This record gives sequence, C-alpha cells and structure tokens, in this order.
Amino acid sequence: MNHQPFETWLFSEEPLPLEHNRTLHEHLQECDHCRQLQSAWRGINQSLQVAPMVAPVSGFATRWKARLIEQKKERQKKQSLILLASMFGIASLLLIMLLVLATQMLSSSEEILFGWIYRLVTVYAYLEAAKVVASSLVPTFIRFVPLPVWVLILGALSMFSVLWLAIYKQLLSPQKVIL
Amino acid sequence: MSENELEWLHKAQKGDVEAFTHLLETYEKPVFNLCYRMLGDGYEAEDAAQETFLRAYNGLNRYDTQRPFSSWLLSIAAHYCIDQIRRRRITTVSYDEIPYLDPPDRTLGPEASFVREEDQQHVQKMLANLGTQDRAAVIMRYWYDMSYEEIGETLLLTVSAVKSRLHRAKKELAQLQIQSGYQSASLERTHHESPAF
Repeated sequence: MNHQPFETWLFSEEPLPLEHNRTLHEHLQECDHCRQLQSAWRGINQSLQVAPMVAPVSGFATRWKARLIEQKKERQKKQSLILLASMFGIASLLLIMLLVLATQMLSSSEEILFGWIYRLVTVYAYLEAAKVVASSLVPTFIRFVPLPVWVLILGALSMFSVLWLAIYKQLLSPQKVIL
Repeated sequence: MSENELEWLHKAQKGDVEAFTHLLETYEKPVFNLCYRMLGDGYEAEDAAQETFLRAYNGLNRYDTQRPFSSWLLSIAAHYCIDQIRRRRITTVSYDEIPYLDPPDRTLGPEASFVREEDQQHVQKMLANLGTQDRAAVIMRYWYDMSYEEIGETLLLTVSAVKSRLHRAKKELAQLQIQSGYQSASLERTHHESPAF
C-alpha cells in the first residue's frame, strides 16, 4: 500500500490545511502501519524535544589552553626540522659542488701548483721592491724635516692617543643616570 | 553576538588568547553537545570540541563577521565530527554515563533521574543509527532550533536537501523506535509535534 502523502504529513512541522488533516485522520483509522509510525514518532520526538544540552567536564578552557601550547610547540618543532632539513640540503649541494671542483682540480693539479708558486714568488718580489724603496726614501725624509718639527708631531700624536683612549674608556664605562 | 563577545572576537583576531578563551567559555557547551550527539562518546566529544576551538582560533582571520559566530563554530564542529565518523567506519555508542547534563535537574527524584538517563541513552542510540549528515541535521534542528536555511549554510546543503534529510531521518527514527519496542517516558509537551496528532 502506498503511504504517501500521509507519511510526509505525519512528519511535517508545518500546520496542515484542514482538508489534509481530515484525510490523514481518516487514513490513520484504517492503516496500522501509519498509526504505528505516528505513535513511534510521537515517542522519539518527545524525547528529542526534552533532551538537554550536554556540557563538558569542568576545566575545558584550561585543557584547551594546554592543548594550544602543545600545538605551538609541535609547529615550532616542525619548522625547526624543516629549517634543518633545508640547511642540510644546501650543505649537501655545496659539498657535491666542492667534490666536483676538487675532482677537476686533481685532474689538473700540476697547473694549479705552478700557479700558486708563481703567485707566492710575485708577492715576495713586490715586498722586496717595497723594502728597497723604503730604505732609500725614509732616511731622506727624516733629514728633510727638522728635529723640532719631529718633536711636535710625536707630541701631538701622543696627546691624541691619550685623548682617544680616555674617550673610549668613557664610552665603555656604565652611565650614571641622575633623576 | 553581544558587545562583549564582539570585543573579545576583535582582540582574539589580533592574537589575544585570553580573549578567545572568554569566547570558548561562552560556546563550549553547545559545541561539546554537538560533538557528543554526533560521536556518541564523551572522550571523543571532548577531543572533537577541543579540536574545533583550535581550528576556530587558527582560522579567526577567515571568519566572516556577517555570519553568526555560533553557526561558524558549529559548522567547524559538524564537519570535523563527520570526518571522524567516516574515518571510524564503525558507529559506536558509549553506554558510559553521559558526561554532564547541564543544568543537572535536582528537582527530579532518583526514579525520574534514572528514567531520564535511560531515555537519553535511547535517544543517543537512535541517533547513532542515522547517516552522518542526517544526524547532524536532526541535532541542529532539535538542540539548536536552527532554521532550514541555517542548517543548510552550516552543512553546505540546499534548503530542499535539508528538508529531505530531516524527513528521512524522522522516518528512520520512527521505524527504529518501532523495532526497538522502547516506550519513552518523556512527559513534556512538544512544540515541533505534527498538528495531526
């Protein structure tokens, strides 16, 4: 037997038109299935209506705050691991590049060795030339400038050194604040 | 939302945990209730409710202030619970004492309290037999008095889909009631009852 539209009317929350109400009432007098459904729905509906709100055990907010702290710690840990993994990845990449470079160097090691020896010899030659220039120029310069001038220059340099040291010491010492 | 709640919300959006905690204390009961009614277990409900508030806190910048805050929270809770149930695949109902009935009705005698608790366990058992979305729609309709539009917004369903799900859920509950042969002892007059009665 088709129980529509009676089942729809039984569960409707909207008020039924008078005609539908009467038709449903007549149907319920004949149909055991719909009458049973009506009675069952009445029971469960009442239970649903009076069912209260269930609350959590007290201290919910405190437990949540603790959980939030845990979550933040987990996130920081994850971020640190990601950073560490990235740095490890970059370091590995650099190491591989260095190994490739080193391999290339080993294959032409004689050229590299001679190149470095040449550089060292050049530097030594420059230093020797500078030594010769200094040994001829400095005595000439000293004779050119009179002795009193030298005393003045050295005196000024000493004074500036002392002044500089005093200012430096003043800057490093803790400041006293007078309110 | 009240003015206080709005103020807490604005502060919470700037990262103020204490302000969010005030909001949490306001909404912990409705959120927990939804989770408990969906999952059927006090411990799982606690876990789900905590997770709901964590997601809400982390997603506060995405919250649309045009929408009621409670609806947004319940939406997060409902979707989380639906995901949990799908992962679980087996519907469980805990017969442990219901965590907390608020407010505990001290006017009821021991017999009435026992009957009430039995009734509630029966309701929970019936709910557990519904599909997840049907269950969520029934919970939102009966515990939160949400309109079809609000339920649709929360569960991402059209109004006609909500009506269809509610109708199907009611029929299923009635058929389960017949099969169980349980006689409800609830006495209070209802306001969602069909006028055909």
